[in-house]
Amino acid sequence: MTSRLRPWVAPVLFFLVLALTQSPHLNPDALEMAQVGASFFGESAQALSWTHYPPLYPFFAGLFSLVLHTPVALVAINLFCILGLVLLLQHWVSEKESPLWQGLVVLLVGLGLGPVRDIALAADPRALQLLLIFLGLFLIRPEASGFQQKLLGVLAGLVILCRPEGLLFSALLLGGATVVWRRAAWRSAVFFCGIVLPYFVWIFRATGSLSTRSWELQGASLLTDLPVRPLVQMWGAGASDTPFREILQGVEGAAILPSSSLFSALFEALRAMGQGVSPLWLLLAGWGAGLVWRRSRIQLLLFLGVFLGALALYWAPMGRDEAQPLVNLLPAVAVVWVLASVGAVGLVQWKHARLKVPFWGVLLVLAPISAREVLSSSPNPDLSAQASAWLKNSLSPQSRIASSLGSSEIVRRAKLQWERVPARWERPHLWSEALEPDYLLLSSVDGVWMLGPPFFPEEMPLVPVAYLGEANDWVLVLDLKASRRQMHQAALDAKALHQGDVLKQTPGGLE
Amino acid sequence: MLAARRTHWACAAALGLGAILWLRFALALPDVSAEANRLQSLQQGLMAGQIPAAEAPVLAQLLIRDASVDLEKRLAWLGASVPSRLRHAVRFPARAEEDPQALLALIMAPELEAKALGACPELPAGLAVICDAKAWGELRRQILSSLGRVVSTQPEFAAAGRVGSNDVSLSAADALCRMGSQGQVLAEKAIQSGDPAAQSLGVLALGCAGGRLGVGPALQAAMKLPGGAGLAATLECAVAPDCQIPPGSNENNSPQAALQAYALRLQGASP
Repeated sequence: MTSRLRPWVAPVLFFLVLALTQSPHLNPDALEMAQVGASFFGESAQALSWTHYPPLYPFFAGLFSLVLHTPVALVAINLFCILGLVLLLQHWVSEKESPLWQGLVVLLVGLGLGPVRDIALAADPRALQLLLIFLGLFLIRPEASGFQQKLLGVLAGLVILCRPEGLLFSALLLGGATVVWRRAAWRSAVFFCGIVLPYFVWIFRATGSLSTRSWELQGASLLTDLPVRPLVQMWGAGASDTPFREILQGVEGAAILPSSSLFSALFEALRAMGQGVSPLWLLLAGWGAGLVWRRSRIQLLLFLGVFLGALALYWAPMGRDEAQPLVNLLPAVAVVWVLASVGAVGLVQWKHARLKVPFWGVLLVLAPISAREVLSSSPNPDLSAQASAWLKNSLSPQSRIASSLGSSEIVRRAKLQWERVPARWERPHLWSEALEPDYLLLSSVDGVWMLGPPFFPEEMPLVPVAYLGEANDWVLVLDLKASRRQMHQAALDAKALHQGDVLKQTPGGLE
Repeated sequence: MLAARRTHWACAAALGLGAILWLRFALALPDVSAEANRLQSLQQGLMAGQIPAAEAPVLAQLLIRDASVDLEKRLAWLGASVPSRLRHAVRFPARAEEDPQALLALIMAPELEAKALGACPELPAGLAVICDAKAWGELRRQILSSLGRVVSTQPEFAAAGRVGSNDVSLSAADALCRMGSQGQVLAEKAIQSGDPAAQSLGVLALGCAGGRLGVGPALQAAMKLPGGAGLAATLECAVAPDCQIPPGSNENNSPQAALQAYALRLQGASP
């Protein structure tokens, strides 16, 4: 094998393992982002707010969607970003040595991390953010060129345009640049401002605030007052605007986050890391941290900054996700990936050991653990794709289908008109008989809370038209218009019967 | 150098192309056969008693609503009809021959309970206890008390409530809305408990988004409660037919005031 091909072995193997063992998956936010992104290229935003999502991922989604089918475009962005990250980490870990076996170490450690595998085949802006952060981190070296200093400014700006917490990480990148490059860091600052200032002006003109989702921050204090579900329904999850969001947007004053101790949040975050990451990986990361400390103290401090920044997200009210506890800790998981790779490579290069560890020995230890992790997350059959296909084949293209945002992916993939289920207090007004959608889609992701309260009238039969899946993983579609028709018909029949009875009882009637 | 760069570009292009081709295949919508929609076969299976309700609990839940279905069948599906998280949260002592899930479901559907009582003693063994007035009275009290306790437990953090029926206390409050006067009594108890979390959910279970009649004055009184309960009462009042939100009750520019302003707007728009 020529030396030029060696750096590609790890990314190609990474892709092949994922392709053979995992399934790509979409999330509803990403499909909205693609729609918003398409509107940057001239298509209609379809009643979605342009300003709801930071624009970088929607921009790329829109751009890729010009030549690719939207779901493919969305997941391709993530896959490219994570494969790029594999290349980047391999380059950084191997320094000037041959990247072949060091690449294999990076590959095995990465495959052994569930959140990394997961994000590689998801539609989600976090992978793009991760690549930008690590590109920036690896640029902060004393010997960086002027071009690299400018590039860091661009990357730090783009991190802000990628996800809301980007502010935290771009501050870290710029802080690191100032420490390492001193006055030369002005180059980074200029390019950073060149990206971020126009963005803030645009957002401020569009929303009157410097945050894309200021209403969410303003309303966060209400999370302590009301149960989350009705409140989120009122906010309108996703990019569909709601009247309540407009009202919150106008609220002045600082946002008050629900009180939760920073230490307990950090403890919870560390616990989630401990439960979601193999102990060997954590040990190797600790050992790797010692090695990085010797190589470059500032580099280790930057890694720790990313790690702690990610953990701090657990402090925010929306930062924790029961179903995926590590999803918002992804930058911290990536730091474990880097440090554990450095640690594993360092075992072979350790000069003071009496017992030399061969590189194949390290690979033999890592491989079974990674293999077990990969095989334990075998993909489920894609029920939502089946349900989308059923909707597409069976319902008219004009059909209006309501569901939670969590299940909206099913409707959007079928290219039908999705509507949010309004909050309980909005339903009597927004779902009056004339405005009610044609179908209501429920799934095991949501349960049945959408059926009430306010309940559909007791006398209204709920008419299902499709049930896909099994006992614990299902999708159900109710035909609301047919339900109304049946209820009205029953009322008419009852009235006719009553009139018939009256006629029968009237002297001189039909009898 | 140039050759190396070409090799890298070629490798990147090949890998990218391979990834896109695989994604096109992996993300294509499948061909759905007629059998994928299992609705008819499941409905027929449930009606014929060939398929247990646990295999399609959500369908069983819809069929239980249907008064045209035989009482015997509706009672047989009861156990599967309560959402699983709620089922696990409501705990009470039951004897081996009793079906605790079906008994909980029966309490949550008072009209069915009345019909089941009317069918005594011809009931499945798991439900037979309801025919013994004394034993059923005691068990009923324990079930209701446990349901009341669940209403008072808040999910620990925000994101828990975003997904499905994870918010068990809210599910319990929703269940109280189906339980007629019994549910109203429990809702009022929760409001009187003094525990802020229980009070908020109690208010939701009292108003039921306009679904419970005659609770306007109670909601109006609850609007004076501090914190979330007062806000929840304002929102419930906005859609209750016999409740009126006093205008301009909160004039500062807080999120809470915004919520009240929104409630007023809802009241103005309500049919």
